[in-house]
Amino acid sequence: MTVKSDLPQGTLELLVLKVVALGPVHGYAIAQRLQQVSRFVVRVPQGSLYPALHRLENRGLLAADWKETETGREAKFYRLTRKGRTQLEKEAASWERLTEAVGLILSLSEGGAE
Amino acid sequence: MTWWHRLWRRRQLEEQLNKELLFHLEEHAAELMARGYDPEEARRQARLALGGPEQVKEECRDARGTRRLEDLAQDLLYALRTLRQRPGFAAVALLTLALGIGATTVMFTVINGVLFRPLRYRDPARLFTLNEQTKGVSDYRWGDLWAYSYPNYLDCKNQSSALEMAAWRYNGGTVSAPGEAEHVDGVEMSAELFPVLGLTLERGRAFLPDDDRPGASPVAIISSGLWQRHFAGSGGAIGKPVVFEGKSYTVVGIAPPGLRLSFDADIFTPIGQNTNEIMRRRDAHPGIDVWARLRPGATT
Repeated sequence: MTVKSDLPQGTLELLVLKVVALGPVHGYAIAQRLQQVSRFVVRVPQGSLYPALHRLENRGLLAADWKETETGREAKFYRLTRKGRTQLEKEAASWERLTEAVGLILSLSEGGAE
Repeated sequence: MTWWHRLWRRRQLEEQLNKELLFHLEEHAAELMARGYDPEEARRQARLALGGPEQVKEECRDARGTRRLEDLAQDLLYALRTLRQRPGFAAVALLTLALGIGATTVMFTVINGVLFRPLRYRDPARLFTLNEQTKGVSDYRWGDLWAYSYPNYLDCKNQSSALEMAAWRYNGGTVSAPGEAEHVDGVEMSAELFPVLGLTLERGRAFLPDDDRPGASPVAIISSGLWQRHFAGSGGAIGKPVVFEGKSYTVVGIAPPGLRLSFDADIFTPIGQNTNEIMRRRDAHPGIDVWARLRPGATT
């Protein structure tokens, strides 16, 4: 069994926005997708997924409709609003800057500093 | 969607939240069953993975931002239920509130009328009441402050450059003609009283300094009420006689309706025509109120 990491603060919303950006999707599928894509390294707390979804919907970054799934059940499908897409681009860019900077610091060769 | 709209749709949102979470649990359980778990175990695992459903719901409500109002609504309902279950307590609480609010309202009404509301005269901030300070005589309530003696009032009035002063005193009696005799409240006043208060007459003229001296021909101003009762509100009342305390006065003016001094007076006569001995004494204080207005440019 691999060691799972907790999500860094605030990244859950970024990940949710990214998954929803791929097309309308319901909550359970978001949870699955996050787990699969992260190869089970990232532990997605299912309990905090729904509050995050409702928060994003409340902020107008996501919109939701009730639609039938392939199996004929009714589910709440989330999709990205225009505002949500802007927010996703902003947060993705800032995440990349951050990881790049952290990566640079971690790649310093030891003994290199005099 | 505004918050009240959201609150309005609370039940609907609550149902949708239940439905959404139920869907999640069932999908998860179905997947586990497909992987070979028995149904009971699959549902248990799904519930464990999601966490306590009530807690999740609570957090979702928080995320929706109507939480506080929903709590308030529930608290109010709870309070109402409690009150209904204990009518005695409810009655006492309501009575306490009613008495408290009632007493506060009465106090406010009185204080508002007496202290806060400005006088109904023009520029009331420049109006004053004056008292005479007299040595040697003291009273438990007013100390050595007294109503003016008439000669002292006249001296003060003539020597004051900052104040325009007016005097008046109560003078009730019987109006016997025209019409039916009746007892009325009246006022003897100096010619300055109406100008000091900034009052204009309904009809006719105010007293002139010439009216306000001994031996002048007797004139009177009557209230709007007396004008209606004894002259039927006729414009011809000006110049007609009115008999007050057995003496005939010529009506020269009608006071504005609603005029009040300290009481509702019906007849006004010039104080300067009162030749009673008490009016000539400096040591007598025949109930003369002195009111004054700061002259233009004067300050306190």
